[in-house]
Amino acid sequence: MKFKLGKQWIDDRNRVVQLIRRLFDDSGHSERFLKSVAEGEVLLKEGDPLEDIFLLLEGSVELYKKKPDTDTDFPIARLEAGSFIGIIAFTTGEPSLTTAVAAAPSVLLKIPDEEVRSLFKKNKQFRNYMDELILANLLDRFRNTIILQIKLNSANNKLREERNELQKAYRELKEAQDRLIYQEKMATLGQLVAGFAHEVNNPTASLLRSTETLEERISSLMLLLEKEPDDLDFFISLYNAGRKAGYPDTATLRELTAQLKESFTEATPAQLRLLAQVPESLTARLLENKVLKGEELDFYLNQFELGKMFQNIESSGNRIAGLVKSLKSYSRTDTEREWEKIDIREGIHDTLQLTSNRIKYYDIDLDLPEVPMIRANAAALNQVWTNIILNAADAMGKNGSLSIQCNNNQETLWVEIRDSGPGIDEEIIERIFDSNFSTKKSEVKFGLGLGLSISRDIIHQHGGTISAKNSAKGGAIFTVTLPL
Amino acid sequence: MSKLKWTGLILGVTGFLTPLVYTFPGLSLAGHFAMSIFLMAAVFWMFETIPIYSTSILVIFFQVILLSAEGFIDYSAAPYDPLPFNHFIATLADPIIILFLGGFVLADASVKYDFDKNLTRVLLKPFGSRTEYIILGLMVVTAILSAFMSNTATTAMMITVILPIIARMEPGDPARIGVVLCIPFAANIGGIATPIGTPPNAVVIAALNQQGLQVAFSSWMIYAAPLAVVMLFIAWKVLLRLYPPATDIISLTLDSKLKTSPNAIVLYATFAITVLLWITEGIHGIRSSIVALIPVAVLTLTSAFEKQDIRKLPWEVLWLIAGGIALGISMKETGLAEWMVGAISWDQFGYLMLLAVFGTVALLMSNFLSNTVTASLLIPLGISLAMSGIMEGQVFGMMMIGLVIALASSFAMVLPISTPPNAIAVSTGLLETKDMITSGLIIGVIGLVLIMLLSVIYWPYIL
Amino acid sequence: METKIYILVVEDEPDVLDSIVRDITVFEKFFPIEMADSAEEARELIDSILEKDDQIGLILCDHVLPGDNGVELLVEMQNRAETEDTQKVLITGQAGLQETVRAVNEADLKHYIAKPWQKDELTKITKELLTDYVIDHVEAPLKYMQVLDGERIAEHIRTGRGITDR
Repeated sequence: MKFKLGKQWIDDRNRVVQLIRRLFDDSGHSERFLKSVAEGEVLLKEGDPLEDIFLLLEGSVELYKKKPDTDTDFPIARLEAGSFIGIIAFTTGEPSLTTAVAAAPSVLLKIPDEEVRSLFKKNKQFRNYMDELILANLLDRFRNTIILQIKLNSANNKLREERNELQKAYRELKEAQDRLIYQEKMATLGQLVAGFAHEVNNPTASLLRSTETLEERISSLMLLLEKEPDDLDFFISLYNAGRKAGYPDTATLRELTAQLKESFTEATPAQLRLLAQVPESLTARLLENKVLKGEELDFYLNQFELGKMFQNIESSGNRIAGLVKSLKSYSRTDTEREWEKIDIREGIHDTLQLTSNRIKYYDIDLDLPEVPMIRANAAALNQVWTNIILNAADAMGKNGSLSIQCNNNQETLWVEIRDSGPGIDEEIIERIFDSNFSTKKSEVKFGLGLGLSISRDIIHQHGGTISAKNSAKGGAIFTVTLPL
Repeated sequence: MSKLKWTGLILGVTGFLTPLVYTFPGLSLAGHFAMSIFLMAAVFWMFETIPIYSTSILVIFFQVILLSAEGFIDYSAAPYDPLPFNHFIATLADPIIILFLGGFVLADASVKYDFDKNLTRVLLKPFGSRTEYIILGLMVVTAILSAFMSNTATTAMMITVILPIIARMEPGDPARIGVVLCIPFAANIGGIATPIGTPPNAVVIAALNQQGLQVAFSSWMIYAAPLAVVMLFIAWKVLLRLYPPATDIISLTLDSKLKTSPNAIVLYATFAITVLLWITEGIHGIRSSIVALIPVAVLTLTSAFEKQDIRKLPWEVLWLIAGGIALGISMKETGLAEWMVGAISWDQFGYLMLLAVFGTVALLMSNFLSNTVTASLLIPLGISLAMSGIMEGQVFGMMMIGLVIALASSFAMVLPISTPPNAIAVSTGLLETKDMITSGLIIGVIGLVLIMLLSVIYWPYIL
Repeated sequence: METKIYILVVEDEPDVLDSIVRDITVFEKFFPIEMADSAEEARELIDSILEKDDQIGLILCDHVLPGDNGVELLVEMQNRAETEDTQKVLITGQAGLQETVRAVNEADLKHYIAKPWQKDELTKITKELLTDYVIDHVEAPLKYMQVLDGERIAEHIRTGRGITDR
């Protein structure tokens, strides 16, 4: 192929078109091939075999392509004068790739395929012009394709970025939610641990103090072995009494101390306090033996105290052990599986045990008959009980009563927790399970105010329901149902 | 009110009324009234039915209404020539009271600026770290301070010094008791060294003044300070013998830093000048009571000693002394003292025997009673006895008996109740009363013997 | 009769109460100890002590009590003239920050002892606080010297002139 025209010519297709048109006019073929079309007239359809080649001389033509799997066409390009229509199909011989529709009244050259070749043979100049024009059209198409490709690439990039950002936002949202749930859990746990610490500290204090006293008393025990074997059985009775002695309340203790002061006139207050806890028969024996004061009395009372300290250590140890056991069972740190068959009542008992510093002085009424075991996440359910119970404690303040009942029918099991607090404001009762809804405002004593919304999520996970209402007798009632 | 106080009240009122209803032969009408006052004061002071300073004021009150020219009793027909009432009231501003006031101001200002505490630390340093010398050091410092300050305040201050020392000693170390005991003993002994050392000195000096006998500050120190030095040494030895230290060395951390505020400097200067002028009274002749006004004036005008400090002064001690002085006046002026002395035929006793009797009685009484009260009750009798010429030379006799009474009453340190320093020491809980009784008894007896010894070999040659 | 200065211990757990009292018996020779297991009983005791014209020098009080809590009792005492100067101590395993702040601000809380406590700590604080009380309220603090801080009482005598020569 030889190019007779310069580069600038390629861009000036109108001139070529005029030249071609003149050529056709001069050769008298115009009548045969020139064709005028109205707006909207379909020149060729997508998929049709191409029999003619169209050269647009005036007007414009829109090319449409069918969307895959649909019947709708969408415009892909608008061709102006000087453009070939169906040039790809023409050069490759494949069916038409697009549908061409006149976008305005247009004039075109419609030359049947076979004619083109004979025209080429007949007219060398026409062939040259056509070559130039085809090249120009192809170049044009090629250029468009490149531009399109670049546009597509950048659009793709932008899309990918947006998708990444969306993914990131979603991930962050999820993380934030997880974190919130975790924080709520930790806040609950923090409360419980504080309570637990308090509960453990009391027996620990007692334990430590008792060991110290023991150390002192042991030395007196050493003395005992050398001294007065006659009294050994008395010492042992005193020791045993101490081992079993309880603590009278302070009012009784005061009364007893005052009474004993009459017989043991010279005993110190500390001695009298101990004497008040010694069984009467043994006190009588002390009186009989005229052991009334000073170091001698101390010597006997030490045996009693020795027993008492052992008792203290034992009961304190048991108490600590019990609390630690509840904590373990509550948090389920001893089991690997989250979901298992459980008796929900155990969780309620553990929760009560662990929140005992908050509910210590409430009247607690438990009505927990045997209910079927259910498959549940025990630790999660415990969090629900804790939320409800501590909410009730917050509402009631120092005094109040708490009643917990459970029961079941064929399909469901329910737990009802009612308090004697002021109840829930009717205006907000609908919203208390919404996240971030808290009646505690600035004074958040417990958790993050998410307690009830998380409780609802947990119960929903179990396929159950949670609801709150006010009792006619005052106070709030929370009801949890769980499917069997 | 306790049983004891009730007994005191009944006895005191009875004592007061007896001379009013019963006539003692040979005693004037005024003498009867004086005796009423004397008996009441003696009983109230002994039983402490009312506070002892209050009894003092009561003495002055009854003197004014019963014995003064302005009182309710008409003495125109009696041989007694009543004194104007201001004579009795003036005891509250007696020169010796002013001397004490000066001493109190100096002492309280020292406490205010921690001069006593810091001085103690400075003075203790040369005594090293051997336990026995530390004890000696504590005693010397205590004695020096208590010669110019109240024995009680000195003891309290020294207790704050020794408690940390004791805390560092082994729990079973007997010397712990020694360290606690040495403080009140040294304070009591140090008190005798100067006229302002302790109130009994004041009562005795005032009584001698009434007889026209001026006792210079320096003179008193010449009479009494050597005894204090010797007694201090003896007490130290006694305590070391009774409570031998278990450890040789005690580590002392004595951080002293004298305050350097302008007021504190004023105090140091005033303290130095006042004490210097006091102990050199014999040379320049300016009366110590007049010198005593220097600290009062200087420290108040420089605001080193302020209004609230003045309020905190132990005014009741001054009242107590004034009551003692006033009682002496009425007993002498009404002839009561003479009459009482005359009731016993003293001739049978020798001169030394008489001193020994007064010394012993003073020692015994002041173990149970206030030292000041003891001196107040005994000094009128002692002076009357001296006046009656039983002793060789009235002036000499009065001086001798005065010294014996004052010094012997300061040597009473057997019981916690004997003196406030003793009470403080026992209250620390670091010693038992029996420890105090044992060592106090030994020191008291040795003290009495020494007083008698000085009466023979020292005072006769310098008076 | 001489005025007595009481120590009041309020604690609801009998074994803990017993331990506290056991740790401070050394003071009992001079400062009688009274015990209560609720704020209500403590109030009655306070009334009966004050009726005899005696004083309460120190209160050791737990926070979690049946009925009114410890901080409330302390605030109440602070607002009553006769017990305003009582040295107030919370001895507790758990009192919330707000309640503790309230005790400090409204009850002039002198000390907060956390459970479990050390005997030395408890006796030291008791000794210091009773010394403070005695120095401020007793004319002649001498008799208390042996169980209290002797150095401070001696210093008080030195500077305060509670006792003088006689």
